[in-house]
Amino acid sequence: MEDEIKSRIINKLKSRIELLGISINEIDENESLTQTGVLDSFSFLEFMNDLEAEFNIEFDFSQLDPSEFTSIISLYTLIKNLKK
Amino acid sequence: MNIFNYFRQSFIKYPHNTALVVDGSQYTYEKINEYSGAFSEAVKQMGDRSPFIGLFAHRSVTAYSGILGILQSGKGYVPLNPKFPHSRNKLILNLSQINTLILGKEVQSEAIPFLNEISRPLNVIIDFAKEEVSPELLSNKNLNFFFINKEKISNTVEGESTHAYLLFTSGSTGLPKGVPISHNNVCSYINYMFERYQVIPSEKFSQTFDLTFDLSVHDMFLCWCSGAALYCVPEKSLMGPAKFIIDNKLTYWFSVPSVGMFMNRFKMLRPNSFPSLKVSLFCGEPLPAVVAESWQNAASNSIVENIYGPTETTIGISHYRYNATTPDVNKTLNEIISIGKIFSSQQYKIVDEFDKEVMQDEVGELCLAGEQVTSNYLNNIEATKKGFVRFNDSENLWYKTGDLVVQDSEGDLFFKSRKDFQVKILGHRVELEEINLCIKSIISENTVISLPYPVQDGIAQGVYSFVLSDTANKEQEIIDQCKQRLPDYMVPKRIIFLKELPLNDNKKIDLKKLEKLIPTSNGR
Repeated sequence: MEDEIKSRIINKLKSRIELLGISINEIDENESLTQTGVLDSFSFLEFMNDLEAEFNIEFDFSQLDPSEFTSIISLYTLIKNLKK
Repeated sequence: MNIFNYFRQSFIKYPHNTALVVDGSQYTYEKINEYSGAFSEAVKQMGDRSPFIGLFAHRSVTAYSGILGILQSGKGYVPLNPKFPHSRNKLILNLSQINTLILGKEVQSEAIPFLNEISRPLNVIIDFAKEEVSPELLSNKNLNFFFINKEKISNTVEGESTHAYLLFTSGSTGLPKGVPISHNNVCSYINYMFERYQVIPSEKFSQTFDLTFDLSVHDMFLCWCSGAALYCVPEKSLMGPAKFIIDNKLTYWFSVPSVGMFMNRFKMLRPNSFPSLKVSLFCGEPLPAVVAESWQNAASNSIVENIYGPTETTIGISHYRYNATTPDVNKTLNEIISIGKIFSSQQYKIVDEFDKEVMQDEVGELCLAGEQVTSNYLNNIEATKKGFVRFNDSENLWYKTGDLVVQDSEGDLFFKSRKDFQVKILGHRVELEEINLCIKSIISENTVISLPYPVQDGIAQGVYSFVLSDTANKEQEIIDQCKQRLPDYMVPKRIIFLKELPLNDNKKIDLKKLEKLIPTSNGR
């Protein structure tokens, strides 16, 4: 179950960044995608859109700062909690 | 008046007030005045005859005190942007013919590539220790480093040269156009806005815009002329600033509508989320009614206004106040909020293609004159002639905005479309032809057409480009090369290759049909 969520996140990211000519192998799952320049803030939000559709969930950022959820690991934790 | 004096007067009245909050640190007016004085002294020591000094710093105390120091020394500032590709920063450096640059510690790595390509001597003013300067920069023979002495502080305010700042906008010939804005232009704007909002020293202003975007001048100088505090929104919070607004209890908000749209999309605009806000302004692109309404609900104690204004007319020149009590009475066109009335301090005309004024409810080009309106583009006679005209019956110099508008019976204006191929992406002006020319120079194809796409609630999210070509295999390469030359908001998100282009009945390219050819299976 855990690995499935993570691999689905990685797959979604993969199709988005391949368009930008970045290989998924270059991504460190602990590092912020926005701070390392993989995604800018607006393409990051588009990526969040992708994830909402993929997992059939809705993020609620009225209490959370999206900048704290910019690594694969932090997104994974966020989604795992929403799926509970 | 030198606009530095707005800051100076507040420093004299409120030396212990907070002037700036950036990078987690707070700085009083007294402290920033000291830093500014040190930069001013350094600029004077350079003995540079150019009217402009460059600034390469990003969301740091160096950036803000550097701007003040340049102005205090009597010069105008030219901001570069670490988010731009280095070729564009180099271009701006060359077009503005600056000989001196203030360099922030935080953007050294972005400075190396373009400073290494500069083939003329450049003074670089540094406000940190020599040991912290990158060895790659130190070994560059063209660079003459000047290290700021924090003991040597200039207290005087020099008589200003004409211009306060010089910004560059996208140009349809492929070269960006330099827009010089005078101290008088800015004073006219700031005095009008100060009068309108009656800003008090306890206010807390947001600062979301990059310094290469003139709306940042509103943030800085409306704030500092009032003795208020400027809160620089960190890059990482720009995408969802709800928490930043709440944690810092901001009272003045100013951003592009896109930020509001994204925040709405991610449920950051819950009713009464931002009770601290008193004034919320949006500018730079169309304001969708749904964004205005959601923002008004989230910031229920705030007035919400839509501001319109080209860079040439200094920051903003018209406004529309959203009616919070009865949202239904708000004026819209295609679900986009009216741009309202031109500031009473400035003049306008709406003219047809023969420069004759149009009747009410007729579409025409908005032309602007007055103290806020600049008179020329930098070293660009052709663009100046086209953009700045004298009509037969007037002594005024009029700026032709290229924006087609209609006016209703109460004098409120509505943006209809552009006269040319300029679009707005995240508030930035983009000449589609500049993108087309860039792509044409990368590949040897003659026909390239770019479209704003996708457009959501009237706001363009990006650009897609179409290339008439028999082969279709270089998409990634073209996008990569565009990234080296264009700011990221101008880089096409996709390149679509077509063997033939859809034409309309007049044998012109049918842009609507073209848009339908965009594959929709991608991305989502």
